Amino acid sequence: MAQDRVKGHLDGLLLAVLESGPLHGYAVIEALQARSGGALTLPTGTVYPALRRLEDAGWIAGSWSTVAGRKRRTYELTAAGQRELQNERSEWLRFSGTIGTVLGGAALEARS
Amino acid sequence: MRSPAREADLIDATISRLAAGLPSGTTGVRSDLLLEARHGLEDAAEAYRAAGLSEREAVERAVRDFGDPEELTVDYAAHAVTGSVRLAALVLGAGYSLVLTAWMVASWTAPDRLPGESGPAASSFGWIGGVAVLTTLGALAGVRRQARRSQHSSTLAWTIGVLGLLVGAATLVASYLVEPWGARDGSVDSPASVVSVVEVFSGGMIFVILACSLRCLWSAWTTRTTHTR
Repeated sequence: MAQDRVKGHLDGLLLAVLESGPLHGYAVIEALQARSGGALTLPTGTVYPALRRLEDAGWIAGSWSTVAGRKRRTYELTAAGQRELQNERSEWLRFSGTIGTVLGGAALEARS
Repeated sequence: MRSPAREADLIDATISRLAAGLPSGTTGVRSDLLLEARHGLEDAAEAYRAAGLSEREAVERAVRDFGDPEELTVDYAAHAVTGSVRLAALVLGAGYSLVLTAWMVASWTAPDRLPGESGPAASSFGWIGGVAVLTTLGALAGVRRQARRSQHSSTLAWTIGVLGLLVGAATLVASYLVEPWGARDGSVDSPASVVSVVEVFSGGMIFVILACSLRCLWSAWTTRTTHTR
């Protein structure tokens, strides 16, 4: 999938991945790839500053912990993040519905 | 065949290239970000090794997946500058509030030993403190607003840096007007009173505010993220 398109929805994707529970940076990347069946191919280096930005936005909260001698920053969704995720979902459904109607218009008309 | 040390060098080289593009004056946030990126690369290499790739292939794949450090620098630098803005703002608001509180306590415990006389210069500290706290609140709101809009701009860093310097400079001028430095007879204040302790604390705090403001300006000056995504 085109990286630019994915980048435009990165905030919503990251919030959605964190909805199921706290994850550290690399686990977020793995979850993104697993959920998309490997279709989302963002450079993994873009995810870490994006997570920090979501933290600045107050949508997720991060904390450091040490696991097997490796320092990891774990992120979890805040109440504001949960609300933002709902907004992102509604907006996406509206947007994809509209685009789908226009793009599929001719085919649908031909079928009917 | 490459040795494990050579594979680690590949991760080191990637992190070094990323670090080269980050602004100065952001030491804490900068090392925090780089540590997270490094451990992310190590996690990825480990996952590829577990999936059956050789040491060399695993690290090369992890580094390739990470992306071009020079292109990634923009986002990392933006967060580093945001960190220096937040630090400067918090030090400004919390530091100045502590200074004002300390003087309030001093005025209650030793009202007869306060320096100088009350007048416009003495009452200006309250106004300057108000500006400091408002600047802090504005900066924190600005950081959140920028993050929510996915905007990166060093304007906020310039603004906070300049306002911090102005607050520090105004405080120094006002304190000189209240009582010129060195004008007091040292023996009058011996042994050290609450007021002299508060004076030293205030001087130190104003120095920290000025240093953090300069650091914030320096990070804005050296950043390459003066654009909006």
